[in-house]
Amino acid sequence: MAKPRNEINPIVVVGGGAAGITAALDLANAGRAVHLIERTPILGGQVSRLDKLYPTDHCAFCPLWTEVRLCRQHPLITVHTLSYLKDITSQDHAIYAAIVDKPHIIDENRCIFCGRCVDVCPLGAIQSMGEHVYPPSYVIDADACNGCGECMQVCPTGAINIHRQEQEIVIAADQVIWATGFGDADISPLEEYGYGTHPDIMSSLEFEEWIAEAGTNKGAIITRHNGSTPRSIAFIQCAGARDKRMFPYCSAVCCMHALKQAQWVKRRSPSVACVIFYTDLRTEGRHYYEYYLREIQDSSLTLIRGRPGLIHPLPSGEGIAVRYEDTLNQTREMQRFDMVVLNGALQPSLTMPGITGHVPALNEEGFLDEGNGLYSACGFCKEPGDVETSVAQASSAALHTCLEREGNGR
Amino acid sequence: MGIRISHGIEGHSHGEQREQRGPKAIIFACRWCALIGADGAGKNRVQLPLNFRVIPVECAARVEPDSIIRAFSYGIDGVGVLGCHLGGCRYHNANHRALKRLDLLRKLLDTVGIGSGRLLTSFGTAHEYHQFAAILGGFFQELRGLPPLDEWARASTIGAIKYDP
Amino acid sequence: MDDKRTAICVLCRCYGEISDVIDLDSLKNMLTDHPLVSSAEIRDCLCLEADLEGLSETIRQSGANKVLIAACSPLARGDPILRGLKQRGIHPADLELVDIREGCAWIHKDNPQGATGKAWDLINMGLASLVRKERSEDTTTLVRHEVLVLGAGPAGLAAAASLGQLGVKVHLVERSKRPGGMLNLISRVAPDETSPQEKLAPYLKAVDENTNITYYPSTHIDSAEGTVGNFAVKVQDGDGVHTIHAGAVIVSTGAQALLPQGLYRYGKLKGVLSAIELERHLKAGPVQAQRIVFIQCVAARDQARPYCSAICCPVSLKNAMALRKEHPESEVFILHRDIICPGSTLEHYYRKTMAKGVKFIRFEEQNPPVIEGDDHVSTVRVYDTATGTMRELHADMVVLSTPLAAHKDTHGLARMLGLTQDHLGFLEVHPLMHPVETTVPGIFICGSARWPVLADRAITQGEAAAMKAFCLVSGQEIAALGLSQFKGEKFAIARVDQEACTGCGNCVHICPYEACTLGLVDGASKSTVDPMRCTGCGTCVAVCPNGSIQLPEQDAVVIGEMLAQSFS
Repeated sequence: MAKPRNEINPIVVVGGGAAGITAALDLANAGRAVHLIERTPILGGQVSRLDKLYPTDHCAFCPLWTEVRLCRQHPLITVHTLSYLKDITSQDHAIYAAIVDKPHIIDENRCIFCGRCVDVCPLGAIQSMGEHVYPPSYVIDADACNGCGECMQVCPTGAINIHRQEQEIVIAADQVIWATGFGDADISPLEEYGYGTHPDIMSSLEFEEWIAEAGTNKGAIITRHNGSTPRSIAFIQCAGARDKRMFPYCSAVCCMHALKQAQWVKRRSPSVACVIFYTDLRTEGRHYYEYYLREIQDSSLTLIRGRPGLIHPLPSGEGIAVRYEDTLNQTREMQRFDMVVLNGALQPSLTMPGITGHVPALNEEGFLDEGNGLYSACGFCKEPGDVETSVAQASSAALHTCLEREGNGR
Repeated sequence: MGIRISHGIEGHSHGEQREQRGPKAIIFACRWCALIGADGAGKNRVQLPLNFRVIPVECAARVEPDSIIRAFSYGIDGVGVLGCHLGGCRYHNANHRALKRLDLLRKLLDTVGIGSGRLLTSFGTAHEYHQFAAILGGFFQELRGLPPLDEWARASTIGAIKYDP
Repeated sequence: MDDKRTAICVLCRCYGEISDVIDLDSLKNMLTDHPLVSSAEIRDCLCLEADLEGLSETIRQSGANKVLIAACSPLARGDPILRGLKQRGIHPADLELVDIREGCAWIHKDNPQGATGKAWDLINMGLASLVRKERSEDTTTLVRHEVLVLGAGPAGLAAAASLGQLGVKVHLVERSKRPGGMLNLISRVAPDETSPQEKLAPYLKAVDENTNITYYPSTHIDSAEGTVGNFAVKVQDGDGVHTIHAGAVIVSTGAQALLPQGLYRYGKLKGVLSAIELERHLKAGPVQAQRIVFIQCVAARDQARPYCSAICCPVSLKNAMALRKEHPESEVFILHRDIICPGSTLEHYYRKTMAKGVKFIRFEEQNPPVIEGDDHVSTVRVYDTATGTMRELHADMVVLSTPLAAHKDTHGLARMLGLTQDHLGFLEVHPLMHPVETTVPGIFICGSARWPVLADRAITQGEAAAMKAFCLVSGQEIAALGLSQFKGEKFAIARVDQEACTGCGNCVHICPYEACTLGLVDGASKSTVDPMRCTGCGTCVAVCPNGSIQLPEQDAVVIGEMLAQSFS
């Protein structure tokens, strides 16, 4: 589609996770103006909310945080948090993007993190944005707020204004890059996994939060039902993924994610036995296989090839039963675990329930259909992949946007 | 530039005076993991022992044994060097060298009579607020259990310092 | 000490968060008498815009050339204050931020007198640093609007084509006679089954037609010098040696296919081929085999080569599909340890291959398949872990899937460019958020030289490298202090006192970025720092035997002074 060659309009990047931030920075460093739109109050996405990353075992927020900081500082990037893309229309060879900015009741630029508002809120609707959000700020859940205004009375800087309204702006853009990533899917329809039947049957992202060093348990490995140290934890791979009933695709990151979680469980609580139930152990990335080898050298990590057929709580607090076939021995087994982590059910954010705003054309698996060339995509919304892959795709998407500008398509 | 002699600030309660007289520590904190932990302690309003001072450095690798020895010569009871976990250094594993260097220094400290217990190193174990608090608290407890820094040992360090003040 | 070095001190109340614990008034009074301080004042909340503007004005009017701010942590509002003042003309080297909130008031709430004493010490330490610290020299270098791309495989072609189209002058150097890299050796590209010609056509066309791109076939590199913005690389072709100048270098030299020497009777028995040989056969025409057995993970994912080569499973699937298509009555088995098809496209392809009748048998590493035959392969015996039985597969062709390995010439290339290899021989890159960037500013790695990847991903990485290189070379010049390892700005650049330096080489050896080099200065061996490569970590300072290398912003004497002031 030909664009007026003299016009240099900004680029809209939808999604402020690893991929979105990378695309925004690359474009800005190449001289393009960018509007970076993020649904949640903070930039960094799913990856920054993890506890640790593989294969480096870094804290997850740190590599993202420096990039987020660069995004916020860059004169060419306008960051919109608590925002969504309402609509895209094209007219006269230009794209018009309607962006809705939901109100920031607490202005992060004026919050000094004194916490006086938290003390007076009757509903507990005020929370810190996150342990690793810099500068630190509080955020009010607009849906939970009852408008009493107590917080406004005590805020010393005038950062709080409960009357702030949603704003909509329309900008002429040259391109839209989608980087909306993934969400934690609800696996309860697949009843055999027992999700929801026991507090210690969790999704892998829930488990990540549960064992996070910066989380409520401060890194301690304890059960959710009674706070004791578990004797054993089962990681169930491909739960919901590679499954015609739910997600036929492979989520690409779960094998390494489980290995990483098992590794950290072991580091913090060496007595816990971890068992990973897998189908294919996908460790093709850079140095991933070695990460796996280092782990299996320790005998308390066991790998069993098989997808469990039934997971259910045992009576009166005896734990959780996992019934499976050990396909390498052709034996049917049942093992008792104190905790079960279900790994696999990650779905593209644009298909998550309750998502607002414009949703572009998606293929039958929920990934972006880039066929019409109006926009491009990077990261999980295009194809499940790890951080390195998603970030390379983001740079590539930024490049193609620059190429469009020069009037040269692919 | 002379060496300052410790005095408490006048007019405190007994408890505060005791704290004033208690062990003193310098914490070299790398501006990544370590400072994040220290900052986290502040954000979460964790109450910490009074007598430590943080010197921020870009990387734990910047910390010279010379500075550590100098600190002891000034009557500081303990020195901590906090950096990122091995494999997590922002400066391409510079912290590996720091670790090796500090392990060697530990042996030297034992040899001259200062004692290796006065050097705290933490690579990647103090980056959360509760970890920083725990490590600092543990260090102070150890320091309180040690006898005061021997005058002779302090004097012996002055010859070892690289720079003229 | 320079008598004119006086500082203005500004203490922030933080609306009581600091002043409720720390007695700022008494600190202010003590500061007013301090020999290093020209004036001291207290403000309510520095980070709010109005106060920042007023503050800059006060600083300008006071005539002081140094500013100490005692307020919150740099991770809170400290950093924005620093930036705000910088925008108003106050250089960070003339500014010191002392954290008396997270670092004092908030952690000693029940001990106001102790906290005030500590704040006094922290401020004194800050003053000691402030009056002594110097500015690193901020050199700028002109950047050549040219990029050198080494290797014309899919990654290099994509990088070169994109950069050329963006108006950058590109030098595309290829060692062999023709472009295409490993794609020249294969029949079809996995998983989309396009022909290599089709896959590479748009890039080859761009390289051919775009006058920005100069293609150098049959050319290899001899040596490399220079630094980001201006690399000088000597290349040699049939006509001789000449020098290519470039602002950035993209390394896309690919990898080599390992041959399964000594494994599974390869080379000893007819009908046992390596995967790359099968490609040759498939290119030549229909393959005359009815029963083909693929064996995966040959010489991979083992002790000697503890890595997964990522491409072999999709490639075998692609070849299995091709064979089944040619001969629908043929029997094709893939013997594997795991099928590595992550994501949606590859998983989909795996299912499709299964649906087309390709059969899969899983074996274990400790129990590999056995090849049987006298003159020609006849049978493959394998323990099928899924059924727990020993299977005897009739085979008239066995295809061994071996990994891609780092090119044997990677070592020489790495040395020339100052790159490091990992223990597997692949070129080291940053993990996670900067996957095509290295510790050498201006040099990028993409494609299988970095890590084995399929063609599509190599192309994406080539484009990513092109994007990074474009950002670098699209400006007129780059500032050494601005070239940081992803923080936006360096803290300092190491500086060598050439008189004091004894040329011992400790710094050269220890620098994680190889920023120091020894050279002759007036006949004596001295160290010099490449300001583009230095990141200001300070490792060199700690190993220098006489303190001749320092970080100007935080030299050893500064630290000594801070220590002296730490407990008053």
